Amino acid sequence: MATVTTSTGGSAGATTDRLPAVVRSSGPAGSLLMVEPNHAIPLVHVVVAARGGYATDPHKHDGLTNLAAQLARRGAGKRARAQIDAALDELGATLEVDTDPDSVRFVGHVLARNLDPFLAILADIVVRPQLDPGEMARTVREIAAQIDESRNDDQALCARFFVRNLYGDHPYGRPAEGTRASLEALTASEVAAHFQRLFVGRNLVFAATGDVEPADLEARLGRAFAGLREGVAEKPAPLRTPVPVRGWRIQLVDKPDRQQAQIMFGHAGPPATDPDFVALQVGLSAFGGHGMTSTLMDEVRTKRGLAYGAYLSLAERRGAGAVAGWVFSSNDKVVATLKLVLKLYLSFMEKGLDATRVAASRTFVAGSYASEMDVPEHRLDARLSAEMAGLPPDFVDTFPERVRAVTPRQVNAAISKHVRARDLAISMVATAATMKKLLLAAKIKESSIDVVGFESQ
Amino acid sequence: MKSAKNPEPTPARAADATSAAPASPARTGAGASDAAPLRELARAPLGSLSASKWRLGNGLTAVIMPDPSATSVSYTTWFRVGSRDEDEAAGQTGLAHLFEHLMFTQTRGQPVGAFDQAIEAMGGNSNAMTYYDFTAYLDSVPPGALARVAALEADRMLNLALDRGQVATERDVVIEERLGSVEDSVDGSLDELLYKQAFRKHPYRWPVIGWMKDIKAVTEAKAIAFYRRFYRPDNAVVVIAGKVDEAAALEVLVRSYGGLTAPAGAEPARAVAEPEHAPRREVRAALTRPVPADRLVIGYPAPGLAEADRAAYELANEMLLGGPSSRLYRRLVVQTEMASSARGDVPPTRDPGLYAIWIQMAKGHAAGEADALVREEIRALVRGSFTAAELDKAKIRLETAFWRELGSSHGKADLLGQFEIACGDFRRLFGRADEIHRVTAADVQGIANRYLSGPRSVVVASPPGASAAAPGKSSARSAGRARPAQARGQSRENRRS
Repeated sequence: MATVTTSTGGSAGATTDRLPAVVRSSGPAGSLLMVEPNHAIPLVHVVVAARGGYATDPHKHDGLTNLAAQLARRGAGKRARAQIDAALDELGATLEVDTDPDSVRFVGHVLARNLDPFLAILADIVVRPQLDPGEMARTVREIAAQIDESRNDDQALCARFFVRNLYGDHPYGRPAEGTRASLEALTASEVAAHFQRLFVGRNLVFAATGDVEPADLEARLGRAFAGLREGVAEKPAPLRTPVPVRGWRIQLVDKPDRQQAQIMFGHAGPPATDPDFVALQVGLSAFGGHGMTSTLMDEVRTKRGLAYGAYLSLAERRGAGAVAGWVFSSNDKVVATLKLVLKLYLSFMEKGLDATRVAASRTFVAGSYASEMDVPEHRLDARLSAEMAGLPPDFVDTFPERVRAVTPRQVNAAISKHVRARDLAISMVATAATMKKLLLAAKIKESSIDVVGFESQ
Repeated sequence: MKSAKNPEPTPARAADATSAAPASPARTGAGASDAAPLRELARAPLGSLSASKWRLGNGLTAVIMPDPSATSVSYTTWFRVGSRDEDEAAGQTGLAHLFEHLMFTQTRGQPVGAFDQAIEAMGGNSNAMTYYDFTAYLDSVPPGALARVAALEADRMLNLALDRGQVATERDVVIEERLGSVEDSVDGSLDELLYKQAFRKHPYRWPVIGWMKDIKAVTEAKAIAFYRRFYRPDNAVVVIAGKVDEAAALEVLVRSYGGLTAPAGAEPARAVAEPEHAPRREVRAALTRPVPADRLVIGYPAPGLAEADRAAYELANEMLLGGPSSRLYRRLVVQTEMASSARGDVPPTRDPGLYAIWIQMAKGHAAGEADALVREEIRALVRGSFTAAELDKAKIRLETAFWRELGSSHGKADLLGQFEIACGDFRRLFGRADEIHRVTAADVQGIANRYLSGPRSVVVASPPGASAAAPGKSSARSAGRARPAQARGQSRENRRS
């Protein structure tokens, strides 16, 4: 099949930005194939991604997409789960399921010399899954137990509640893995139908990086996935705009004996394809990005020692990705920390950034991209995420240039339009008996404080 | 930004720092490249890449691994000082880790915040980690920034200037870090108790982050004394990996570090910890945390990174818990469904350490059930009741893991640094694949006999319930080192992606 494009970002004079070339071509059964050869080490990283992640889970069917992919991984072709596990381990390969709002992916690593048998197993999973009802019951129990386990981690727990607090019934508010109740309500036929709808050629992106050449991989995939149906591409339903939060809506996730509170705060942002997206990223990075000199880090940690860290980021999504902040602080400092963070975010929204701060943020965001993209799998992941978000094929390669082209006026316009500091979902994992009194006494002017148990979702 | 190549004091900040600045002017001079003879000590290939090791006249060691396919440079500085060099009896645990924070404050030539500002102005980022055996400072920068980052690192190696306020602020940040990673973390609490129960004398018994009482009691005087003792060129290894030219990197290193003078004496004076093959007996302990079902960790004696048994030991762990078809994972999680997760960690310690098996029970199952299965499968290893295919599977899985870890500039620098510190020779890393390949079934059975048989384990479990410690108060039972995900060291930044 003919190669479509070779993307090698970076303009003349910006050689340090240039990422290794990725070759885009047609894959099996009308799919898209992206390959970045890299022969430094004898491994291949392979991803098969279906458009439409957990945002495609029907109402009250939370966890359907993830369960379908997990179940396919647990029995395919002539192999039962134990045989797939053993076959992959014998190849020294790994194969995991990764489900996000916009895609569901099989993600694997394999030694280059074992690529063909690995692709044969992967093809069985994608093309010939067993989707056995008995294995499904066991998979549901396993996922439910993992949900229970995730409550040990207060940070992950806070994130799980925060997305629901922020998005409500919007598809992005669903937990990727569902809940025990939603999983137990699913039928085997629903799971099978959902899988067969998502995993067809025209809805798939094959992606790889490592010790393989694009034409070689294209041929290998063609052989391994010969039985893949073309089907039709998942037509993404237009994601409705989330119902905005009004005021500061505080949700206390009550967990016993907490000495700290994990706090997440935020609101819905623009889709990744919004013309303001890059400018907003530059602005938000200055406020709470991953550098140590951001406003949040400087004011909360460096100047006052109130918390170990304070961050804010914008998710790159096909729909309204979250603008989400995160800070954690001991009980006696929570009120001071929360008040400070809210005050800083209000000020950021109202005053924006001066040209010096914009220039510094542009330099940092564009420059640090080389470090972020130093890992071949990260580059592949970034390219896949951009594809799933509907961004142009050269978005990752040209990102530093796009950042450097942003003006202070554009940044401040984006802040003014998209930052909603007066309307925030705030979730806190804390001991409610202690924390609610502190919050009420502090008169934060919240619109509401709801208390929910940490095992309630 | 000032010229990073030749940092000059900034008067306004120098006045603030005078009382705490190191006294010896010999510690300061950077830029005297002619004072630094350079010797090549070693060179070794790894596939299409290679690495080399060098030493400057002042004792600084450098390891360089160019990779033309990289997009950035990982510039890391490793000091041979970790929590093992602290004095628990004097109440000085946590000092090594505190420097992970203090090193980003100010130097005699750079005001507060200038380091981070300079790194970010290059389009780079910085981080740090502390472990039992080392403290490492990790910069990731674009290829063109090598000279600037080297100058900044050389400056803070000897010219850190501390004041009381900064020490107090960073102490508070570390307290917050500890509350999050230990007191409010079931795994952090279990891990801390595990090591404390296992080791009787060796410094691995106290947590890398330090006991809470010691963190609260730290003073700038203690910090300055610690810095002067351990932060010196002959106690450091600079590891550079990524898009870098070896000759250019050497030139930069000589120019940046050549003028630094190590304090008198060949090495920092330190107490020698006698290796302890812990635990020496069976120990059981418990603490209560709000977990959905029993969580437990079982610790066994483990060899250090440089020891001859190491490869066979890692293979034994892989056969037990390395992948979904491994014998113990399969029984615990897949066949009996008594656990939702199970994994084993063999830490990269210099001295003998502790192998930890972490298990999260599913609701309705008790820790004792998993404990019994663990013993059963370990007895099978001791008897040699495993197949050649299992051993081959473990070998190929470790081969994949080995290459995956080397996939990034950061990964390369990280492993090179660890091996150079723990083994004294980065080339041991490159020989790992062969070492693993040579292991026989008899070797695995042998290490199972030596390390895993007999009453020499620590079991620490947490059943569901309320904590023993009241909120807002620390307690000996709930103090701990990093959560297992961070068990290789406390990170300056523990951020979500």
